[in-house]
Amino acid sequence: MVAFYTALLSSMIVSNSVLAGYKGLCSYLGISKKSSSAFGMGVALTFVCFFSGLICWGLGFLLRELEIYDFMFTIVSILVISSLVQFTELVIKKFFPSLYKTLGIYLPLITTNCVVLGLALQVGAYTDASSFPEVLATVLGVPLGYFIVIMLFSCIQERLETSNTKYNFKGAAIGLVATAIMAIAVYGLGGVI
Amino acid sequence: MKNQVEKVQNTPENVAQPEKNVEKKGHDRKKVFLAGIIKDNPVLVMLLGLCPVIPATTSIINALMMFIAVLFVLVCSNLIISLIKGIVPKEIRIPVYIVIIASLVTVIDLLLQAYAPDVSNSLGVFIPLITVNCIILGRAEAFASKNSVLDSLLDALGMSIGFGLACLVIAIFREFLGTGGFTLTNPFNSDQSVSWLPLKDLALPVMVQGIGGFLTFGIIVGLFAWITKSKVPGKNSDTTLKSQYSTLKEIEACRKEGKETK
Amino acid sequence: MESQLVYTNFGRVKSKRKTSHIMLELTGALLVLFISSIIYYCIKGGADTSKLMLRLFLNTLVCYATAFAVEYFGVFFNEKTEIKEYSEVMGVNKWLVALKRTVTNSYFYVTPLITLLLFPIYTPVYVMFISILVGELIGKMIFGGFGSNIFNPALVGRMFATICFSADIAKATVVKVPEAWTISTGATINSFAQSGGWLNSYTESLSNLDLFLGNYRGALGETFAFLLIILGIYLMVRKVIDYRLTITYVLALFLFAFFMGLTGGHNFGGSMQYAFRQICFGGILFGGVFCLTDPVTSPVNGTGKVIFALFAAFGTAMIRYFGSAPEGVAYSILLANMVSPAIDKLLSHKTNHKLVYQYSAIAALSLLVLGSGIGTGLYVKGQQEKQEATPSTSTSQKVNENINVQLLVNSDVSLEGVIR
Repeated sequence: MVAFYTALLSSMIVSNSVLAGYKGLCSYLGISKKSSSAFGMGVALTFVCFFSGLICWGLGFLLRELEIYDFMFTIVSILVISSLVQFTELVIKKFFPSLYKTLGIYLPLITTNCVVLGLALQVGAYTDASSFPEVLATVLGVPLGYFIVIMLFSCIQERLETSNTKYNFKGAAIGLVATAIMAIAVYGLGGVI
Repeated sequence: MKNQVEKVQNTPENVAQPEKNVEKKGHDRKKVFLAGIIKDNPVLVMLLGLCPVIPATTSIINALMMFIAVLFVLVCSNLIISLIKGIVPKEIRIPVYIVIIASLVTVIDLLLQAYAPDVSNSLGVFIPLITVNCIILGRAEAFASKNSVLDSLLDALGMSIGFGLACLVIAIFREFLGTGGFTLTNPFNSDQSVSWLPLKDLALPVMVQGIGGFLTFGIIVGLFAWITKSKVPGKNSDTTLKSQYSTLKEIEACRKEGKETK
Repeated sequence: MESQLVYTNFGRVKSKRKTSHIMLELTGALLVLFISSIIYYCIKGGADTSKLMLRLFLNTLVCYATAFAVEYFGVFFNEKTEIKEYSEVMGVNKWLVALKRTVTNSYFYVTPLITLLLFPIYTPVYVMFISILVGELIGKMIFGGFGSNIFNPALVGRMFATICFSADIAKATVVKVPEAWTISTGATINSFAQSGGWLNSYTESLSNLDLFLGNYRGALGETFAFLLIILGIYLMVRKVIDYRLTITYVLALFLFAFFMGLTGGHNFGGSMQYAFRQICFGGILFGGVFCLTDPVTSPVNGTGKVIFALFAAFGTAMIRYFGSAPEGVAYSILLANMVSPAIDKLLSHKTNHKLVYQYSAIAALSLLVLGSGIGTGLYVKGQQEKQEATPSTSTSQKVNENINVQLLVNSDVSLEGVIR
């Protein structure tokens, strides 16, 4: 149980997918102009990461059995992710139309989000079946960490809108510099967990 | 009635079109190629495909190898997709593109693992992540599925050269500030390396870590916008400021006069 | 143009005092600390006083020159058209206009002094240069100058230099000590348990009075606890800094250490003494008075400030007692700065409904801090008992990277070994 919480917190904060893993930057910079869109992206990403992570973990074992893991895993996991995303989009569109209005436009963007594929590749590398608590913690922790960072960054971006930045730095450039300082701050947490 | 009027009005332009088309194609091809480098640079202007930039720019050799990998995948995928664009049905085109791109990425990944293992280790999971690079899927969807083979090839070349140049510039800064100089190791035979480290004692090792990556990247995006963009519309209206300052001057002059008269 | 009402870039009316007066009083307080540290090192330096004073003078010069240069060109970079228009209309040279703005609008004299006081006395000049350059450029100027930054610029520069040059800064604190003091080990729990544990106040040979008066070698501004307490109370009374931030931060950490001591085996008096020692040592008082209270980087809302300070206190405690970094104050203040726009946004609408959330958030965070104090105490006690059960023969005396207390054993290490 302790291992679960340790892995959860460490994948959420210390090995944060944006600040320490450099993944998911396209939507991190593009979506976080408004907090509401950041919230929608985070929720949708958590959902997709959870299911695709678990499925890819299982498929990793299957492919290793068939001995085609080395060259098929990328193709198989990206197919799983894109079909999961399209399936989710269809289901939400049909059964929860109001939810589709808020979340629906972000779902196709998740296909090209590096966080999901990075998680699938990381989780597929586990060869031991008893690593399930750790896998579960990673699969929950990575998107939640991304969610926290994107929410904090959208608040910072909203505040930077009103600042006196020169025109060429406004927008993504100043956001990246702020992300660098956030990475400095999170660097100090290494070793706490 | 309206349609007929419009048709009559449109004909003179239509007559002139075929002659213009020939000139336009040559001009367009050059524009298509150059757009990817400066005006629509995927990394610095359009902010696509950012994920491999920070880990790939830790050294110049890593940036070059990432450029080669992206070049290979982008050129081949654009070629193949524009060749098969007539055959693929519209509903399943996205999964088909994804499978093509993923297979190409697997090929380059296994090649790099075999022939340049050190580079493959340092780039890590970011070579397979080229699969979901926004540049490749975006270009496939937006350009290669609609244009001819030659145009798609030029676009792919332009985009990947833009990506490579951006990565190279960021890598030069990061490596110079982070290690005090440049170190070039042969990726295929990691025993051979040439290094020139003039400022080794003054190096800032944080620049080759993630923090320095975000910092350099942000500053270079800002500087690139400063260099390439001319005046931003709306910023040139300084008339309000001028009038404010001149009224202030008048108020001070009045105040001085008031003091003298008193 | 500067009225009696003071406002930041966000149009918030704060108090009827000019910002320039507030900044000058703050600089005065920092100068008091600076002068007292000069006096201390002159008295205690012995044969090396001249070297220490020369290095200090060079560092001050580098700090102020770099900060002025960066801010001067930053003012030009950020406000070029305004300066041009103003100088054309008023008939003043535009270089002089920028000069005036650097001093009056941009307050360039505060950040270098804070940065100077965050480092030990014998810091290499290059390290100081990089720290102030990065702090001013990346922490302040790129964001748009005074009032537009999100993170405290002095801390940004300090942490950048720490990550780059941690070994050099550690070496800078090696100076002669008169008696044979015990070694101070790294901030991890295990190494402390080895030398007697956090609960036995590892700086055993430092008496309470020595710790309080700052009679040990550390970063320039952080050692003089009594002076910091007096200056903090003065600044709070004069409304230069917000009392809610400092008092919440210091009190939360005091209670954390108090409960840690209680559950770790000390009695009431011992825990009070232990908690008092914990807040006197390290950058807690300096950070709480000068770095945390920067009005630009902390939330505007009153309850937001309390949440902000509690968050910073929790971060400090976690990094100090569990993390591998030697000092947690700067990292945790940067983390709290990261969270402060989100706190502002959450608490921006003050309705009755939301008041419940505010106070419950404060209560939850306070419980978290105090609860983790109790938990840490139990954990450390468990580690200590485990350590005592297996007696270790190690007298490992590695000089650690703790930049605040550097006590060396038995040897007169002269400054010749520290060259840069």
